[in-house]
Amino acid sequence: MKTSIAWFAGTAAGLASRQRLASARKAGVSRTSLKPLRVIPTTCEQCPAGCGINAYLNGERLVQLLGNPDHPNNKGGICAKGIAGLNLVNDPERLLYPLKRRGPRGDGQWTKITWDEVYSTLATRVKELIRRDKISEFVIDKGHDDPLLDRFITAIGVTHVIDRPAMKNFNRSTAFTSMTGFPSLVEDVGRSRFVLNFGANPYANHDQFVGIASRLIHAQVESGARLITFDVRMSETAAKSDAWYPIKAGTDGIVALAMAKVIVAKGLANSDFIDRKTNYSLAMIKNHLSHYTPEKAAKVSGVRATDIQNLAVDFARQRPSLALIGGGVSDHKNGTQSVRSVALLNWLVGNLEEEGGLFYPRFPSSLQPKKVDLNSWLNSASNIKGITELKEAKRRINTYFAYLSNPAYADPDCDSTAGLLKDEKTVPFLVVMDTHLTETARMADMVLPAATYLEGWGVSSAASLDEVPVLNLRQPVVSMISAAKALRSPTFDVGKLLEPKFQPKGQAEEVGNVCLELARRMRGNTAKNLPYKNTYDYITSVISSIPGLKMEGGLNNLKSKGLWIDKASKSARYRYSSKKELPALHQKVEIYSNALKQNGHSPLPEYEPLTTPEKRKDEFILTTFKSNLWAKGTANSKWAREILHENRLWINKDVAQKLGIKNGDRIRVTSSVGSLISRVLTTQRIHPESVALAEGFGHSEVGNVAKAKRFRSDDPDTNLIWWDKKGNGVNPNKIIVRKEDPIGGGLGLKDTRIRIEKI
Amino acid sequence: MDTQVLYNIFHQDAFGFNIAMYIYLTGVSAGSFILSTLAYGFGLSQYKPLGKIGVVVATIVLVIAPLFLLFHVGMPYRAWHLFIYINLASPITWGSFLLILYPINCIIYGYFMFKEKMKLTRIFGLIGIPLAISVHGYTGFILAFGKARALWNTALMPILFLVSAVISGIALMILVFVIKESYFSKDKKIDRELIFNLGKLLAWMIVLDLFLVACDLIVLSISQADAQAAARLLLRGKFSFLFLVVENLLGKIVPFILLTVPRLRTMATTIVASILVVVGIFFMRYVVVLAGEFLPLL
Amino acid sequence: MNNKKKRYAMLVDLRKCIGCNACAMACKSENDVPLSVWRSWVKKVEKGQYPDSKEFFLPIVCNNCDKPICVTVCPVNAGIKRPDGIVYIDPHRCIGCRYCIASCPYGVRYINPRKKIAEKCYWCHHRVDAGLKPACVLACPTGVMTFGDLNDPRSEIAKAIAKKAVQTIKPDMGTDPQTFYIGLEQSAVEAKKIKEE
Ligand SMILES: Nc1nc2c(c(=O)[nH]1)N[C@H]1C(S)=C(S)[C@@H](COP(=O)(O)OP(=O)(O)OC[C@H]3O[C@@H](n4cnc5c(=O)[nH]c(N)nc54)[C@H](O)[C@@H]3O)O[C@H]1N2
Ligand SMILES: Nc1nc2c(c(=O)[nH]1)N[C@H]1C(S)=C(S)[C@@H](COP(=O)(O)OP(=O)(O)OC[C@H]3O[C@@H](n4cnc5c(=O)[nH]c(N)nc54)[C@H](O)[C@@H]3O)O[C@H]1N2
Ligand code: SF4
Ligand code: SF4
Ligand code: SF4
Ligand code: SF4
Ligand code: SF4
Ligand SMILES: [Mo]
Repeated sequence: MKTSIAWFAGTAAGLASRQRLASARKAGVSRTSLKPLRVIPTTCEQCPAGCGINAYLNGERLVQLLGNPDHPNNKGGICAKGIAGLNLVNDPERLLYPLKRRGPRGDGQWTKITWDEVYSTLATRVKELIRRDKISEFVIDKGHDDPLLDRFITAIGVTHVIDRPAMKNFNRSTAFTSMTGFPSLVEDVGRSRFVLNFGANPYANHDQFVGIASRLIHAQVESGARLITFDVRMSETAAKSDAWYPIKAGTDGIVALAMAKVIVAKGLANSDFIDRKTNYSLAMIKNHLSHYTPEKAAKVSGVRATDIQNLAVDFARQRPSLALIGGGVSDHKNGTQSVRSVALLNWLVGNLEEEGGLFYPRFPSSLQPKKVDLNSWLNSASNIKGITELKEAKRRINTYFAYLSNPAYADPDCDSTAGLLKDEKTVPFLVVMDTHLTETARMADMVLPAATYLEGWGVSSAASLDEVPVLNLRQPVVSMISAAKALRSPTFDVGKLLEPKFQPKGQAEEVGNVCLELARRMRGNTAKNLPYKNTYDYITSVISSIPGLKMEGGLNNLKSKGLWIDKASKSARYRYSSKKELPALHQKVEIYSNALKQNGHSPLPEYEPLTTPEKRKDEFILTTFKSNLWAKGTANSKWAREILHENRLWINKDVAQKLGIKNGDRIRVTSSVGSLISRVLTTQRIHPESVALAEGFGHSEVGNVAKAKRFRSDDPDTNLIWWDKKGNGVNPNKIIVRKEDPIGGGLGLKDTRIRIEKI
Repeated sequence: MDTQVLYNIFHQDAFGFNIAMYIYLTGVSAGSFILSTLAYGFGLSQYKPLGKIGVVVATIVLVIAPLFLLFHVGMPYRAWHLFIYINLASPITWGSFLLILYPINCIIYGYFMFKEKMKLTRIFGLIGIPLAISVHGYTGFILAFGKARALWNTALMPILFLVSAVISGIALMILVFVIKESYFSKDKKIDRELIFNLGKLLAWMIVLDLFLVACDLIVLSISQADAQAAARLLLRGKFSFLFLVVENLLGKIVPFILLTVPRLRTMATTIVASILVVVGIFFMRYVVVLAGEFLPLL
Repeated sequence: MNNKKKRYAMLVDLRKCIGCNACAMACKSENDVPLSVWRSWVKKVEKGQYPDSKEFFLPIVCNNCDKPICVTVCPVNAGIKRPDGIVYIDPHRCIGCRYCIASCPYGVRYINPRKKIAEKCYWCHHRVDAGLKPACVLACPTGVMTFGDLNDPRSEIAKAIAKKAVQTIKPDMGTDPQTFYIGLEQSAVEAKKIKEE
């Protein structure tokens, strides 16, 4: 779930008192001195899951990151990406100073500048745009959510916001919003007995990775739950499933609809639920599904009709059961309708607010998210998908500010994105704020060093998986400036003594602080809307407005535990009672969507073929997927890269044999937008018509680790990089064709048609 | 059944070239020493001319050999630990004492030989023989204790090593003797008889060696899976050229033919045969050590 | 406290392993393991023919064997088997001769490229002695590994091992491994990859 809902409440800043850092538990020990390590509980932000983690410090040095056992979602577990956060902070190649371009764009020549220069340049530019009433020419591309950045955006009235976190799952979010009014629901996999997984890979990547993976595998092993996976390749999840059904790419929708037909035809649907809690009748559903026969679905998808029938019956009978929906379903041109089709399976058996089913996300009391209106969702600012669309819409750009976003690498057909960003006529002034000199930053006029998630303050709430709602605190865990040092400082401020004073590495800065300083310099209304000294001041004020938390010790409590569980909000606890009505807030599940109809789309779940015209015989469908070690912050992680440094193109072994291609051969992969050269992995674990490439490889910037180059630095490990001769793989986005689902607007990242040839 | 390893780490080589070289040199040394004692220890007087060269070669080579050990170990300046923290179960511990005792004995033995004190020479010669056998035989045990390495973990290993040590010792003695007689002796006349005798001895030791290698291979190729894999590695795999062609064909069979077919037996062919053996036995060490640890354990 | 002699062991429930590598990475950071060497890793093996193929994940750590051949062969007694079963290496004594590496049937030892001495997984004894679980055990998101005292019948591991059929890797090596597995797939152990050029 993309549910890191940030908070905007509260004004009165409480008097900050001295923090208590060390946890009472002795939870870590130095390997060399055997002395206990200092523990700071905080929140992981390497992926959207927001697990509770403990940072272990030896003196001032961060030495280990492990899971926080008190966190109800991850319960002490952590994943490899989470641990690799250590590499992100301590990376010798991090961007640590603000830089200004010297020489032509993209040449990689920089001059160090001061933050003061940064602030005055930006404040002047923005003020000038506001004065000329041209703030629409200021584009913000945010790759990560930040509440102060959002406030800043609102305060100065930016209209063009490229919201990557919202874009990520456009099709899935649209589909769920259209049916439930919420972009995403919580999957209660831990209590399911039968899980049908369509194109999700919860054993390698999921928006709630550790929490979901641990619950699902425990259900499988301890309670004998069955897991069935549809995927074009054998994902980690498919490997651990009771059965794997290789499916033709983009055809999950029709398989789900055929299953739905079987369930309805055999009288296995939960008619009570459909009558009372959905807006469509069983008879009409039956009528709608009439032409989705298992035989037809089999012909389209390659999944046998008998399998479709049996699985449908099992799904309806072995309750509680749950249909999971992943990027494999949504990241296609037909994604929105496919997601709606699979979701229909859940509604047919009554999977809403039921044990082992889907739940509305729970957050601490009174912070329950509001139901979203589909029309406003579809029209929201996040409809701006990127520079390509801006250019197509002929919108003028004056200044483009990218925060933790790397479109020149991560966009489909990324080379053309890079081309647009590089063009001074399209983008006259490009500012990039990131932890590293990325592919996008290389094109910038000004680069700002961003603090990592381990160097700043934040409060967020990850959707609770089964316990009562939880509030996460993110606090700095590195480079604390001692009080003594603060005293010696010329700009000493008594108030600061009471505040913990952390400083990120070098001159890296939190984006929140940058926004606050810009607002101060812009004065007027902007400054009035952002009346905080710094991010710490801001979260203090947010927290002081939460009544329950205040009674339990407020910020101090949060700081020592890293999280707060809202025990009082019992009402939000998940209840498993089929008799109970849905919370008043929620209306009926809209199997028939009026909003979609109004927008000119089919109001009922339908299957639309992906490949029109039919794919040619010598073509394959290229799917891309996320590896379990890949996250935003692991591109330059030495430990992640040591395990996975290159991505090879998966191809079915028999098919490869027929083409005379052997494991490890180099081949050229060509799509309509470009070609790349990759090595192949011949495998028995992929559908013969698909090929697959993991994303997150083939960086040409970011750092030497990401580029698989051995080098000397303060870290002796960087001279031990041994995979330099193997290379760093390829970036699939160079050949991904940019196309989107006309309904949800999500990108088809998993269905580019390609041809291969041996070289 | 179709299986494929998708991910595994690579493992460091435990021994590698340095140890192959070390084992080779101790073998040469032991072989030369044993030849040297033929005359002085066992009174086979036709070998008397070899006595002095033998002990000199044995000593010099044995001083060089441990240098490869020092290159090999990560903490050479901790070598003294070997004599403080003694573990009698470890072949390396045996070796560290042998590596001290054996050269000392060589020096004493040689000293008396050059002083023409025959009785003492004989005594230290006889003491030296078990030492020489041990100093090389223990390297066989080192490998044999690698219990998961099919190529090493055989009781044949110490014997095989000894036999090949003697071969390389004889071959080297022939070469050194020829060089010494033709460049450093007064009359520059080589004792052909002695050379041919040595050649014959070498030939029969080669037969013994081939027999042992064959025993080893036959058992390997019908034993458990790892052993079969090791046999395949030698016969058809990455090491087959070195093993079949260099070590056994050029290093043993060709010299055997050169040394035993009367029509071929000349001074020159004997020298060629000896060179082939000296090189061949080096590759025997090389193949045993490197092929032995080539196949991953997991 | 229980002053009975301890006997530590590790249990790896492969049914729950999702091959995520968190264990291997936690070990790198906990023990400052340099690049190019590993105390623990997750072997991955593919088996069978499409569409009935399978993939296996096999996390590997040192077995801290009851009869550790690596200790037997160490010429300077740097390998030490503690009474509680943990096998460790005295870093001040090791001369880096690599003999233990040659003799261990599991390939779990390495020479630290910076320190030039042998190292391996020793079940994080610095943590265990402080009453903590090994880093990899704690990290694992799905709780695959259980660590504890087999002599304590109430310990989680003793209970699990009493209940379940457990296996060890290569029991025929006679080293009496103390890292036990549930659901060990023989073909995952046996599949081998020849060194790449
Ligand atoms: N490790 C890791 N975890 C992450 C992230 C990360 O980068 N790394 N990122 C987070 C983010 S931003 C996101 S959006 C989520 C994404 O989470 P997911 O969307 O679940 O992940 P993907 O790897 O994109 O796709 C899942 C699977 O879909 C399969 N697939 C492709 N095409 C088809 C198809 O047509 N049909 C079917 N049935 N399957 C198909 C792929 O083979 C893949 O195994 O993960 C989050 N978690
Ligand atoms: N072919 C293909 N392309 C895809 C996808 C696919 O499945 N297939 N998936 C798409 C999806 S779902 C996503 S979410 C996008 C991801 O695309 P983007 O969001 O553009 O992501 P990244 O390049 O992963 O990371 C952005 C930047 O964040 C910085 N960063 C990482 N961690 C931190 C931190 O803690 N603090 C700070 N301050 N900075 C940090 C990194 O340096 C990085 O440069 O890619 C998309 N692209
Ligand atoms: S699942 Fe995501 S949030 Fe949790 S530890 Fe892993 S990277 Fe961090
Ligand atoms: S697994 Fe190897 S290193 Fe570990 S104790 Fe056993 S023999 Fe020794
Ligand atoms: S490398 Fe160290 S621990 Fe291993 S056998 Fe040699 S001295 Fe012992
Ligand atoms: S027990 Fe400790 S040393 Fe062993 S693999 Fe786990 S983390 Fe590494
Ligand atoms: S951390 Fe756990 S689930 Fe992940 S690879 Fe290791 S043992 Fe398997
Ligand atoms: Mo994403």
